[in-house]
Amino acid sequence: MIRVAIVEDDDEIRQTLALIIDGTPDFSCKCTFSNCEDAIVSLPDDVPDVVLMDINLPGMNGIEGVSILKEQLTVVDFIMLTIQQDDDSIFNSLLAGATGYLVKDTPPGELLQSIKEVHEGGSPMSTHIARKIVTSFKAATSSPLTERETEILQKLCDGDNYKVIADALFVSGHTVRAHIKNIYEKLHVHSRAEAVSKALKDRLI
Amino acid sequence: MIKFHFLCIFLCSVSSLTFGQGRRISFDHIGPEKGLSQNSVFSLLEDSQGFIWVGTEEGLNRFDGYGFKIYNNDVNDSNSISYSIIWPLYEDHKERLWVGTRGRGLNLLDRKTDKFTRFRHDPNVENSLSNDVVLAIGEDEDGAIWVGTDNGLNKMILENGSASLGFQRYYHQASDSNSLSDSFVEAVYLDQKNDLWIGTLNGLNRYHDGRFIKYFQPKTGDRDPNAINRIYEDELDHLWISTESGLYQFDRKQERFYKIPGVPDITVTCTESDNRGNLWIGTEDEGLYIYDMSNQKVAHFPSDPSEPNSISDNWIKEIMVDRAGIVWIGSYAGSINRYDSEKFKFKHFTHDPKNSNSLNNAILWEIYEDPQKVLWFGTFRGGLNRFDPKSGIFTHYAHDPDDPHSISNNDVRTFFQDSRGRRWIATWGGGLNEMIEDSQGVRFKKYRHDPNNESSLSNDRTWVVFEDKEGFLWIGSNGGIDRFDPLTGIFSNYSHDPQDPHSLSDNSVRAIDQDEQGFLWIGTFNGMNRFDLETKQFKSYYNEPNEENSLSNNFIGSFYLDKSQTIWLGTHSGLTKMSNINSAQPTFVRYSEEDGLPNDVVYGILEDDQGDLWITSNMGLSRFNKKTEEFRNFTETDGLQNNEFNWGAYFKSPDGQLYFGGINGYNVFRPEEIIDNTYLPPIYITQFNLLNQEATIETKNGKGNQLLDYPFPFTKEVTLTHKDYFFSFEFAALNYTHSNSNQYAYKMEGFDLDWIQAGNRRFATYTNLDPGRYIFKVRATNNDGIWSDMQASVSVTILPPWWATWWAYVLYTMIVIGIIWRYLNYRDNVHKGKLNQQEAELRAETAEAKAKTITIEAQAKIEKVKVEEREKLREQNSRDFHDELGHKLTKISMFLELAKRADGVKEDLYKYLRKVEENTKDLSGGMRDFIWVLDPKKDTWYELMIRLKDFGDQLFDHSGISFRMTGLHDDLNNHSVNSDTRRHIVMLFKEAMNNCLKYSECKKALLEVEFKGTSYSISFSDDGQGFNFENTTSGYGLNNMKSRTNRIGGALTIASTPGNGTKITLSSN
Repeated sequence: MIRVAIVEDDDEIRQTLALIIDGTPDFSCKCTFSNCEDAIVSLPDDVPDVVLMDINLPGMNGIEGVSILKEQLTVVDFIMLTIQQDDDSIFNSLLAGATGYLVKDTPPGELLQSIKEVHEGGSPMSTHIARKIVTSFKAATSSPLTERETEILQKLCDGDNYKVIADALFVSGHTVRAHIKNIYEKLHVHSRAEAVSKALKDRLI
Repeated sequence: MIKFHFLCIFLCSVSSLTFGQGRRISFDHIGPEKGLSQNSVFSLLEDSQGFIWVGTEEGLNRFDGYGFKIYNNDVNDSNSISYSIIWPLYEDHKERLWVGTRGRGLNLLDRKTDKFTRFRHDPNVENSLSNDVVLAIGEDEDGAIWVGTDNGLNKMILENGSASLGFQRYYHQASDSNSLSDSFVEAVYLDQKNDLWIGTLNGLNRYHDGRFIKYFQPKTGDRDPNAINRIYEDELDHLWISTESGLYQFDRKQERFYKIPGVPDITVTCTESDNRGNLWIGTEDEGLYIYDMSNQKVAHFPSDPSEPNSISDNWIKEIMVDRAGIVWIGSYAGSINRYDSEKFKFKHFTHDPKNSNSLNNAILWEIYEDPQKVLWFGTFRGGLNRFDPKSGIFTHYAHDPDDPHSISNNDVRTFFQDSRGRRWIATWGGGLNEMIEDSQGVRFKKYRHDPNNESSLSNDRTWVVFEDKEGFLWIGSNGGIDRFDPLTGIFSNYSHDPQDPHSLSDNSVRAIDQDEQGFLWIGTFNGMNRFDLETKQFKSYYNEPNEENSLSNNFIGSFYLDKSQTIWLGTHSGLTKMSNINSAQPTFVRYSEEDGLPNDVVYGILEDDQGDLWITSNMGLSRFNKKTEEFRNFTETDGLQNNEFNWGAYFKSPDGQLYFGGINGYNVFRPEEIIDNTYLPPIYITQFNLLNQEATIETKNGKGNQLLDYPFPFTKEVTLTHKDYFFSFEFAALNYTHSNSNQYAYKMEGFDLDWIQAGNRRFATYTNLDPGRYIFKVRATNNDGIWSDMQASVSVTILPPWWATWWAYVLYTMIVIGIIWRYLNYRDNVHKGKLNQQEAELRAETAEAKAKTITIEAQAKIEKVKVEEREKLREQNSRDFHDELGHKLTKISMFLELAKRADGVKEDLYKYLRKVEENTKDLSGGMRDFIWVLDPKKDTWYELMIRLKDFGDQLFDHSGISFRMTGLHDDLNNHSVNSDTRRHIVMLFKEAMNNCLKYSECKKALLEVEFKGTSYSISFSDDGQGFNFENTTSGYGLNNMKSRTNRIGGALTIASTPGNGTKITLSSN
């Protein structure tokens, strides 16, 4: 049973999505919030497995919210919800601690599938994001990535997809995804450690 | 037991003798079709001038009988009314108009400037209005204005009676027993004894010396009689309280509430008396009730969609009775309905299909009142009807084929009770009937034509029954005239004999009467006859062509023999007066439409107690003065049953009332009550048009000066110039009964020699008037042509053009002098002038050149900025749009998911839902492409390839096909590509990849890109089964790909052989 919480300001989307998720076997969605502030107050008392966080929220935005919540809820997967795949927002969310992102108008069936994948250890990654990450790590003095992880990241930058990478490295697609998830984690830690995410952004642009 | 056939009827417990029994009252309608701003009418007021103000949900209106002047809120004008939802209206003793709105406070209209002063609630100002929702306005005996609102009662504090210092507020305070009973105040009313009454949501209050004395009622049902909507005092000093639970009369001495039986416990919104003893009551759900205060009966008039003259909506918000007695009713969805009590005079009764206690058929042939004052009606299809005024019950006697004792036929032309009390009925086709009523009940004995019996009735189509002085009955039918002896039952017939000139002129006998000398007069369809009972001879009178002194027409439908032994004949060609009837040469005078008769087909004639004749025709009812020979005509709009009346259906009762019937029941009235409208209306000039445009205070005349000193109708002076050569005045007489019949006369003193009769035209136009001073005057009549004593006038000054004024002439002289002088100076200055000119020219040239250079530079800069702005705007627009669309698409997908999961979704539906889902997904993708294409940041080959790669990843994920891409280098960032090309390349390769997924059944797919200098090459290949594109039909979109290639000026190569995969390459030329 995957327990999901939603932070989304549009009432219809939030309520419908909660209904859909809660109505799917092996999923439950009992907690929803229309803004970050409420989520920050209530989530720690009732910790879910996955939190779907809208990036554009009134008051505190999603990225900030993840940043604050990730400190307390370290094992929770934060998946950002975005209308368009704006690389900068997504990358910043990853820096803040998000585990992945989903485009809002993904058909619900795929949405659920993606949540499942994330929960089981995988993470989506696009070439753009990959390149951003590479650049981000290049700028750091010492890369925290393992050899494997670096290899994978490089292949992503070159344009290979999961399947190809998996074939090339003789591992399964799942493993590749797990590696990517780790890359995200490290990215997050990396940025915290650096505590100069702004500087990173500057180097990326 | 003998069976009778009659229908039983029940007395309506709420109807009185004046209402019910099929009584009709009709309302007219005034709404947006006549110019009213909106259908929801909340308030009505007649001001001291006579204009009618209407408060609606969309503005304040002023009505003058013809059109509406509308005042609405204008956000840019702080002098306009504060809000468009108008609630209470009030005119105080100083004739100031107060307008309360529902949400933006109180307004005071200054009619001399058409500007509104606003009074709003301001939380920071303690003596501002307590609340912005104004529900009631009134004034006390000192003239102070009281305003009731949603939260609080306010008394306006004035300084020197003009400028307001603010409001003193009164609220309900639980701790203060002298305070208002509740802060929600919906009624404020000053009664005749100068007591100020306040109606609130919880209780009636009387204000006295700073204290509120409260009166409550026990609450019995689930509606609250203490929730008060309106307070009103009628002309008999009764105080009426309209509440959420019915209508109550409050007895001030006993301090008790009395309920009016007949008005149910529902929301009563307003009441008003029509000053004729009737209280008009408006409710929220059930329309109108009228309480007759003299006989204490209540009648109900709800809205009836099948009856166009009923009130338009059951939710009545306001009732107002104007000074002429017209009742105006405003409703929530029905605009305004009006009842003109002038029409009460012709009481109208007809067949009411919903009420069996009414006539059973609307078309009448006969009306008769017997000595016991019972009314008898002969109808066209309903047989005989009987109405007993004492019991208020209608009884119907119709033909029943199963009952031999029922009346023989339903078409009853005459009912007659003879001197012995026997009742005779002439039917059309069923012969003569005698109605016998005894202890056994009612039965009809029939006398029919029997071809074998010469002493029987001559024809079954009987029309009229008459009793002569000796007691014999004369029956007129289609067989001539029969003398009937009721004691022997024998009929003796007299009919037309073409060989005998002294026989009856025609067998269709329609009317019979006997003169003082004993002669019988018989009207037929072909001629009038005089029958000598002794000689048994007929003398006939006909219409003689070319002879004025003869009958107007041979078709006699009816005639009336008056006391002076003059016969008035009703024919198909008007009325004919026959005098000296028994002389050798009677005289005939004719009256037709030319003489004022409304219509030439005359049905019935009656004489009233004043000696006037009342005549019915196909165009209504007419009152004829025998001496003046003038006709006064009435039509359906005056309350008549219809314009079409009928033969035989008329009767004068001994008490003087007249009955006339037609195709829609009958009217009954007292002739002395039918008088002209005596109301003399005020008249005002309402508008001034200059050169075809309406003039307001802002308008300027030809000189640029203010045209009007005040808005109309307060204007006293108008100043024009010679340029304002074309202008007109519009005026209105405020008589609301048949406004279109008001007549006008006007005169421009100083120009017109005499009054110009304008008929019902409401405007006067003048052109090219000479300069000078004039006075424009206008007067009017009401709808009955009675001149009002009030006149309206305005002084008009037309200024001469400047070139015609005295100082202009002075100017001319001065100019002439000036010219001479200039000429003398001219010669001196010529030389000086030349030098100056050259210098000036040189300077001008240099300046011009400088200006040009600056302009060009500036323009270039402006262009650049413009282009950038446009780009930004485009991107911003597309981004905003995409966000919006994405938002909605998200919701659509989600609801689709829920729909798919809903209970009871069958296979078919599920299939269709899936299709919708697919299409939504495609749409989503298409949008993203679109945005991507427009994004100026994505204008490099690098971005283009990334896009294709992301698409491919997504497409082939989970498909079993291994997809990869090569050639993605950083230096692709250095090659730019425009959005058109991008779009085409993306679409082309998306198509190729889709084909691959759908048809190739391959294992590997590869996307390659290569740049050599400025030439590029992209190819997509797979190791699938390939296709034979000689044989292909559409579905692969090859033509599309080709056309896209052409558009971008590239070259497309498709290499595919069955079994060996496919490779599609796009390269630059």
